[in-house]
Amino acid sequence: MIVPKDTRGRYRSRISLRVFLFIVMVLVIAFVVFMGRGISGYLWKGLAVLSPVTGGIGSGARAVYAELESKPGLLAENEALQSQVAALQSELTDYNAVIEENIELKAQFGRLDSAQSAILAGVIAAPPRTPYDTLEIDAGTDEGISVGDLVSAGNGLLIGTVDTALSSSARVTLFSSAGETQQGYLRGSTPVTVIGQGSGSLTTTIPAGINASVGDVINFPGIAGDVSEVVSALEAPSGNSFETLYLHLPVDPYSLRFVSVRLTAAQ
Amino acid sequence: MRFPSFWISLLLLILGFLVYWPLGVVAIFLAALYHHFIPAIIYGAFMDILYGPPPVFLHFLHIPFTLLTVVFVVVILFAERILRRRKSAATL
Repeated sequence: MIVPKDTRGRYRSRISLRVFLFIVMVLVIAFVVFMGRGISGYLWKGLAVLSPVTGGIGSGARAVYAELESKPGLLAENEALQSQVAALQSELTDYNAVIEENIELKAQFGRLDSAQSAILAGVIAAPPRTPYDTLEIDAGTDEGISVGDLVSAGNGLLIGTVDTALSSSARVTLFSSAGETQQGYLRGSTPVTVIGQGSGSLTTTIPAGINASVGDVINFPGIAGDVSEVVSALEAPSGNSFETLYLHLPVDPYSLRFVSVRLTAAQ
Repeated sequence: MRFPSFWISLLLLILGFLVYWPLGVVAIFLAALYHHFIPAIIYGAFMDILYGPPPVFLHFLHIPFTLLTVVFVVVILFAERILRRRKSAATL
């Protein structure tokens, strides 16, 4: 078959474009696979410089949203929040007394938590700036952080573990990351396996006989009794032998500015 | 005036890094849709470098955004080819 000259030329240029695209793809993929994580820490540090800009965009969006909300609705919400604060303050008084007693008892048996070393790290990026329910923090192996270190939001509220540790930054995978599983104890006694669902939510199942309720906590295994999740809703279909609990992290990961990393390598 | 697809996709990518990460995926799709294939691949690679591989679920993909870009490019090229064939058949 005789192919006209200009058609052949167009065909050749189309083939060469595809070959060029393929070569670029292979080079880019190789670069990302072999060099990617090494430079991500520096990129995040660079983006952290722009955090005032992002903060400005966020607060601007919040201001617009607040303007759109109705005044009576805001007043009602304000009243509800004030009563909630009062209730929480009275609960906190009891909680502090129990904490003090707990520390005293541990000290008597030689199991004080102060032996555990931890460092404070700033959050460079959190969801929704990052995918997969992860946090980027500004401390890494130079500060003693290693993969698997537990991360807390302070006061025994665990939120995740260190997933990747670079020299000056690290990535924290929240317990709520999709597919992440973790053992715990419902109200400190019933063993459960908690599975992350993404976007700060988690789920677990318990036998129907256990009377769980909204607000119950999941304690992380260990003497410290750290809280890792809180029950936010439950589903108990009649006649079913299991109940499904829907959980959330004890703090809002979207608003975290600092976290505490418990160093396992130092122990 | 031509639609400034490249600059809009770049702006979306930057907003994705600064505010809301799914905007980066929109940037990749827009760049691929307007035949900016090389920038689209670079966007995907840049997102993979910055975010790293998925921690648990889909960890095996390792470079999900670059792969997603490749899928976008292939799907767009095939879709255009099919549409062109249909159009030429209709003209005949």
